[in-house]
Amino acid sequence: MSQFCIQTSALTKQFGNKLALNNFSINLSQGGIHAIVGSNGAGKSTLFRLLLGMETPTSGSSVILGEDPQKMSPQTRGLVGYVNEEHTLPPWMKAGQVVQMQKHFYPDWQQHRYEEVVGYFDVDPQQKVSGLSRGERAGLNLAIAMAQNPKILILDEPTLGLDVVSKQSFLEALMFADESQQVTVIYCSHQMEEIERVADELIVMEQGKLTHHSTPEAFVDRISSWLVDINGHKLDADLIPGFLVSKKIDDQHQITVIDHQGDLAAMIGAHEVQQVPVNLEQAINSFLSKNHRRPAARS
Amino acid sequence: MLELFRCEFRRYALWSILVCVSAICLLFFLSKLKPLFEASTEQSALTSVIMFLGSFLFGFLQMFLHKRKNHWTFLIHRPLSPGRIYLSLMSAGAVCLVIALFVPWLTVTFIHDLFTGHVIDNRHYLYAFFALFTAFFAYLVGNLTAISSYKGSFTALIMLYLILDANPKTPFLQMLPIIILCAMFVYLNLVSFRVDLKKPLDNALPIVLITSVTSFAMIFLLLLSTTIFYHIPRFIAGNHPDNNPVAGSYHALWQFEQGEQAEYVLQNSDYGLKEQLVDQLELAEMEYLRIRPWNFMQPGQVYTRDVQYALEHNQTNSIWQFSHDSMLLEGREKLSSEPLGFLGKNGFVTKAEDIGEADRFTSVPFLVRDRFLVTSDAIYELNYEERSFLIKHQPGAGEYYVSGPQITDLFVYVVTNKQTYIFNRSVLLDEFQVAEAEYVIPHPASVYEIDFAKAYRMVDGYVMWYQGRFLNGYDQSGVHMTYARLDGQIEQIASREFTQYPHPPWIRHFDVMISPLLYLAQVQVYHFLEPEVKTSLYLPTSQVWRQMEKHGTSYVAIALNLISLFVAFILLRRQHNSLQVNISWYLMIGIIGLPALACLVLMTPWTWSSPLTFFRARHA
Repeated sequence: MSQFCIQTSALTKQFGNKLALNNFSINLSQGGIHAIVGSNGAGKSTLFRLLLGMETPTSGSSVILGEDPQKMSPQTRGLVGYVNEEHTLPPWMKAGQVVQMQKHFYPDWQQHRYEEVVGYFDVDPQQKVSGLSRGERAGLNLAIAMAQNPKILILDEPTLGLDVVSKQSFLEALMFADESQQVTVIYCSHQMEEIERVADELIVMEQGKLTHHSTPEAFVDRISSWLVDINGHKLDADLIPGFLVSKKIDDQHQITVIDHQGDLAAMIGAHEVQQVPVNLEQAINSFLSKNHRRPAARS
Repeated sequence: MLELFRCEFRRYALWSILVCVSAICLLFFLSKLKPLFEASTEQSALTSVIMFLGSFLFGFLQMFLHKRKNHWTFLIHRPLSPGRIYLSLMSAGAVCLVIALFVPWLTVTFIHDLFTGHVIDNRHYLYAFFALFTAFFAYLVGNLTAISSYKGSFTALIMLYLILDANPKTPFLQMLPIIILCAMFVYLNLVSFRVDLKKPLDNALPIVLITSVTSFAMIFLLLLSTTIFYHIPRFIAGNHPDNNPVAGSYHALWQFEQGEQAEYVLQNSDYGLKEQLVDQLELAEMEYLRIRPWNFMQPGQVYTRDVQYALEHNQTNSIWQFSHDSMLLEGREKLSSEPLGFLGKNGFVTKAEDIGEADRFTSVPFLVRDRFLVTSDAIYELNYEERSFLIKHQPGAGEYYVSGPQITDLFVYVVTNKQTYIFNRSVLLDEFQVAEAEYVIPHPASVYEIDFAKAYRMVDGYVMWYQGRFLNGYDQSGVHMTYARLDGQIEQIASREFTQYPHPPWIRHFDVMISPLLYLAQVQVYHFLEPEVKTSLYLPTSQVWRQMEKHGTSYVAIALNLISLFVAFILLRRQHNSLQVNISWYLMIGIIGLPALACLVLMTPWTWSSPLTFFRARHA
């Protein structure tokens, strides 16, 4: 098998006139947590649906665990876990019954792992799924997905709508599993603090395209933020290569740029320039907001 | 697979049990009001509609709930092939139907069989199976409608109408079509249930099957479309032929009074006393007669097709109910249900061991006035008090009754495949003896071609008026008049064919035009199966085609088929189908014509974003 567990090549998906995924090519190596971020409509869920074979690509190809998702065998399907933001489980069944049912489909079911993960949450096996809180449902869903002993675990905004405690439990369970299991996790979330905490690799998607793929640290290194004083003059962003976003704070401007090179002060005629530290959340927010502000100029 | 079945069954089990218990209570309540198996047409139709609609909605809802985005992922994304997942869900649905429909019917039938004096035959149990299969078919159509990208799948429900309307000769033939349809739709659902539901069908067999079935519905829809583009506009314009009868046409008859109608038909007749006859007919008493054959009851047919339940005789407080298993009437005392013996072809039999094969009826008799039994070859009369039995009348050689006696105030009409017998009412109804007909009047055409007849009672006999839209052949309507005199003389006094038509030929021949090959193939099949029967539905192809050629509609039909193929070509070249799929479509449209094209349109993915992209290519 290839060193990559997921490979896509010029993967494109069009819905009517909307291009949901545009020539998306990526190779994901095995192991670790790969975080996918992007604004709403960036094509993350479409990518997952294509990888799971739920949609047929308009063009391009993809390979997951060495198989074309369109022709994925049931055995390979069993090696890909999937947890969505709704934590869909049959609401008419008791938690214990759901587990018993899922167990039968997965010959390599890891009961101890299920118990370890579900231990982070207070799930009563006699409780009906419809009666579980969102956090409990998320925990149960994660525990089931991990007990299946998947090679790839796709988590599509799994902590959406969870309270702080549930979110904390979820992340701890996920990180614990990552340590004990050789699983490749594809983690999609809008919660940057989560990404910062768990991600080994960062994938940024915008308007159906892959715009960045590296470690989170490498991404943060590309982004720099500066406080500049331009004496009340109007800031001309076109003069700054890699300009992402600017924010006015009192009499100063905070300018965020990508892949900064050269003397910023000279470029904009500022008499005072001070670099400020940037965390992953700020870096991603700045990176993603560029297209929202000036789509024509930057495309 | 079993686990998934259990999971799905748990979802609907409670509901199924609730429906089951409610149905059993309801059926027992109804059985207190009147015999449960004495189903009126309305009651049977209502039960069927509720059953089919319920099953269809259940099937649709079941799959629709799974089809929701994340629910679908949870369902389909597991190490099990989609086919096996579908079979699990379908089996759970089928078990629910068994609980909700089959168990109540079977329970109630069984209890009636054990604890009441009602005649319960195998056919009553058969109905439980028949109902289950028809409901299962509706359920499968519901499944397909939810999961298939074919937006017209639900129209396959029309097959239920065709199945219920058919009059199969044996229980086996009763069950066979619905079992075949169920098998067909299980297959269609299996191939449609795939990980990517939007993916169109990609092999020939499902396309051929679904098109064959839904084309029937498309034919109905296309026929209905004439209302939109022809009838309503003409009504709005005020020149619709229904309001403006065309002189010389068959339809114009309806605007005339009794005497005028006769005058209209007698116009070209060389009958000598036309004027006097018109005057006489204007004043004569007239009765409408049904000539078209009934569907006689078939041995072992499902009980909902029964038109009668039992003979009841109040003086002896007895009920005689026909058993399809024994082919005898079985009598019981009304209140105590005490057995009273049997009634066979040769009369009453008290003990079961005395029954011989010769006593059993060979066909199911029609019961008239609680005293007469009518089979296709004899009318029997009963005398309950004396427990005697009489063959009241038998038709001649090669003849058979096409319907039961039609009883009026003074006369009784009995129609066979060859002639009409007119009896004095008191002779037939009041005297327990063999009846002789006063008049025997031969039909001028096949009974299948006569829509109805009218009997005018004259001073010296009868004038029989036969009329039919296809009396003289396909699209050749006519009226025929026969004078039957008391002395036995029969005179043909007029025969008129109507050459003027209220509607243009492309409306009259619309059903043939939209699918010539299907129509003519169907005609050929009927003609091959029953060559002796000549009716509008069973006419030889040559006759249909000749009449169409005469009016030029045969060319329109051919052009329509070619246009359908051309449109299919335009549509299919924008789809990236396999050669196998395209060939299947061309074949189906070539054979079926416009209805198959309608199926293709409904099976084609489209978008409403712009008229130009209505039929968009599947792949950009």
